[in-house]
Amino acid sequence: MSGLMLSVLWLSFAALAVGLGLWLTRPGNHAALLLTGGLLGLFLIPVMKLADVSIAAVRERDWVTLAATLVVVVILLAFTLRDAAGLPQGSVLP
Amino acid sequence: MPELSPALLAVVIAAGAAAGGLGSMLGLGGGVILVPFLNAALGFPLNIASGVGLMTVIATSSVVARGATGSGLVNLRLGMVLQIAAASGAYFGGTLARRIPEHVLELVFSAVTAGIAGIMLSRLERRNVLLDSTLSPGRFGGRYFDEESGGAIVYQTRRMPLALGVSLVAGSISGLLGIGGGILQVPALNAWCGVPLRAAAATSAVMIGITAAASAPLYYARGDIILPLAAAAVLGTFGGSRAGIWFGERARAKWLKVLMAGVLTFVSVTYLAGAL
Repeated sequence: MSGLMLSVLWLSFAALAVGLGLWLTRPGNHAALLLTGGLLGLFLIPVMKLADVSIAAVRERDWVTLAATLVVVVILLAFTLRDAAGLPQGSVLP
Repeated sequence: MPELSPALLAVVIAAGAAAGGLGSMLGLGGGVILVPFLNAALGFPLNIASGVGLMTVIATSSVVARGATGSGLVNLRLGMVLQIAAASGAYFGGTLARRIPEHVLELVFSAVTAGIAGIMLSRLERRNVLLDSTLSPGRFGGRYFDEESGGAIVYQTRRMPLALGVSLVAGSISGLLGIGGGILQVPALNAWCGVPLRAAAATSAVMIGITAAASAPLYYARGDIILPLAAAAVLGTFGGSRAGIWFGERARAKWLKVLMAGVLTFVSVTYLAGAL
């Protein structure tokens, strides 16, 4: 999981750098696609970190960390759902 | 809203680097500096500045998660347990925010950050480490290699109920004022709970990224994240965070505390000015 996280981090960095360069020189769909991909990659890293912590906790039989991580996930999901419910209709991207 | 010229994006990259450097060194996420800069100095609306701020918090957290986990600085067990209190506080803080006048919150926050800055400065020479690495760190303590001492050190987390209480308050303030809770959590863990500043900062930096990741997609969906602006800030943050980790591991704990007190004072004055 750590190697995967590192790969996603560097891919995001590269996509954002190339995308920004492209946006400055030839703004268009390719630049937007790279910039969106880079940012979405970044969103994924904390989620992967949570999965990584959970897997490590199970391996080490660290039930305190595992339980705390799961509670945190539930609270953050509640957050996201509460805020998503307040979004104007049609504003969520496909 | 200002036009996104190459010169403006270069300024945003530099601001992102500064925010990422301070964020990774002090566990603040950097949004507390970048958001007012984008909003007040560059003229971006607050929702756009906050969206970019969230992206830089995630970037800082991701770099720290990669760079500092192996060193033992990130205490995930402590971080996850405190995160329950912080996330619960943020959940209810967001609801409370509509009932308390904003200037009252800003005044209270300004006073609290000024007080913590004073506490940090009064404890410059005190370190929360046990140099005997054979000692047990206890249930929520940790062990890491410390460049300053030149060896492995151990710390024990004391006053866990207080740590949970501070995290709850920090989370509430985060929900009320829309800033990261690390600004209260890191100094409190260091001053009252026995956690070394480096460990508290690295743990906080990773945890606030997880919190930010819960709300960033909503900002994105609302169109509050302008792609080239966010990309420029994040690219700066990548470089700044890596430099921040390097300096944070080598700088003397005393100077990190002075830096933290300086940032707290800056934040305190900013919110006082906003409230008056």
